[in-house]
Amino acid sequence: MENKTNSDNYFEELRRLGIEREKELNTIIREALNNDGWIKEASLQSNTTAKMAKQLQEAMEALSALGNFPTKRDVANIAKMQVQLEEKIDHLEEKLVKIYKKCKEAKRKESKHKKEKKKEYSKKGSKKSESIDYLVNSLIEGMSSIHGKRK
Amino acid sequence: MEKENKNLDINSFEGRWALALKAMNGPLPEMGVTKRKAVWKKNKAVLWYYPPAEKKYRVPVFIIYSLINKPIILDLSPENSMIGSFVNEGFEVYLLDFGEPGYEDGGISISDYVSDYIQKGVRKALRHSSAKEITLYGTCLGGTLAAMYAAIAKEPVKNLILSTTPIDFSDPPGFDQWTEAIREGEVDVDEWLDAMQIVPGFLVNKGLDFVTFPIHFSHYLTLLSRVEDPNYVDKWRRIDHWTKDHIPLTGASIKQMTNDFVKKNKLVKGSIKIKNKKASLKNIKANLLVIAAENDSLVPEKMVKPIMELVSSRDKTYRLLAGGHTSFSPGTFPPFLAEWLPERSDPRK
Repeated sequence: MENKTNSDNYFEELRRLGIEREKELNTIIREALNNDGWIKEASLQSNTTAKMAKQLQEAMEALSALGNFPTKRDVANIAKMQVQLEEKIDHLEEKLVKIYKKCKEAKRKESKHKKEKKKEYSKKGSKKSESIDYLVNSLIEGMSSIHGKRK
Repeated sequence: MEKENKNLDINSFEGRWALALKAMNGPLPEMGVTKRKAVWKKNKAVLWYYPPAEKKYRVPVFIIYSLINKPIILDLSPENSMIGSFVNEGFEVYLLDFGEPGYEDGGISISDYVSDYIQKGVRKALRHSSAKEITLYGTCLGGTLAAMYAAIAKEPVKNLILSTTPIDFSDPPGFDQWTEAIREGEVDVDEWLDAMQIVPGFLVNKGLDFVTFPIHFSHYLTLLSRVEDPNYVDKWRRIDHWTKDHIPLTGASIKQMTNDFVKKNKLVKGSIKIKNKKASLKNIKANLLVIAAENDSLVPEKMVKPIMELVSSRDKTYRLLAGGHTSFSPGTFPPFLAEWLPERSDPRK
């Protein structure tokens, strides 16, 4: 048990020291890199590398025309066309969704309109039945009064 | 593995070293474990949908991750999954994974990512979930993209959460002479980027090391000191793999970051444009939660906090939490979100 604790302490201390040293080293490195000389060198190197890369790429393009083989640019162009295609499909999908929503809205409005018309018809119908009832009632009343006089 | 470990003397340096070596070189455990399905694909980007077992909120969460790392850090293992914690809380989660750009994608700028990928992804997510509003969650550079999108969004963005997000580039950490040289035009890598089109992942890794920790070995010592803890070793392996697994950056993105962010600080000045549309942060009216980390050497508080004064949001909260740049990808739903997000996500009764 004691042996384990000693070992744990040892590695814990090692870790603590490691973190301290790491911090110190990184500060030294950062300070060393943060100077004008490195900046100028990096800028120069990036420009030189860029020119070399471009020349090499152009040479490969020229070679590909002669050798009739595709370059990375050709592959990139095909990939870009595929993305364009995906965008067109997305655009169509968006349009379809809009049309679907409009159709749904139109259908909703139509069914609402139908319901309202139905209500109107039923109202008209009830007026007719009221007048029929009225006529029947008055006929019954008239008949009963005639029968009463005869008696 | 545990059985094999029993034969090794954990108290000896050799024993620990052997276990640490095993951890470093052994086959990787499975990552990205939360159940998901792809709902939209474009170029290399995929919009993933993570359904909750029980949907408790009407407003889904749309996660935008950084362009330089893989979003697998958000779903490392069942015990360490930020996405899993959202899903377990009952949120629908959408994650926009930008994928790994190739030579052919060299012309995709930050603005293109915002208008052609994020905006379209949000529309798809809203339609897929039939939600009326959405929460945007952006981490690191993904947060910068989320803020830019929120500034031009026609879609209903209800909440905006920005975690360790760089906004103000007036005084980036360290290398002040380099920053000055870039602003003065003494360093110009545009020509190099035009020739290369993309910066490969390993160079992105080295570049970030250069800015933060040019040399780093302390994590190996931490592994040695805790190598007897299988849970720690498991997490260490996953995170170690993720930190080294950077993805390429497109040339146009780096150019825009250098010219618009570092040189001209356009986000703060409100002069950045996305497809000829001004993306002023003043346009942001969504509820805003901004999180910064005390010991973040990559994106310190001074780069994060200024957004609080730049937006028009009435409901805005700022939290400075203990930890470093990647501390906020926990396995359990973190308290700073538990206090803030549910009540702003239209809970279902």
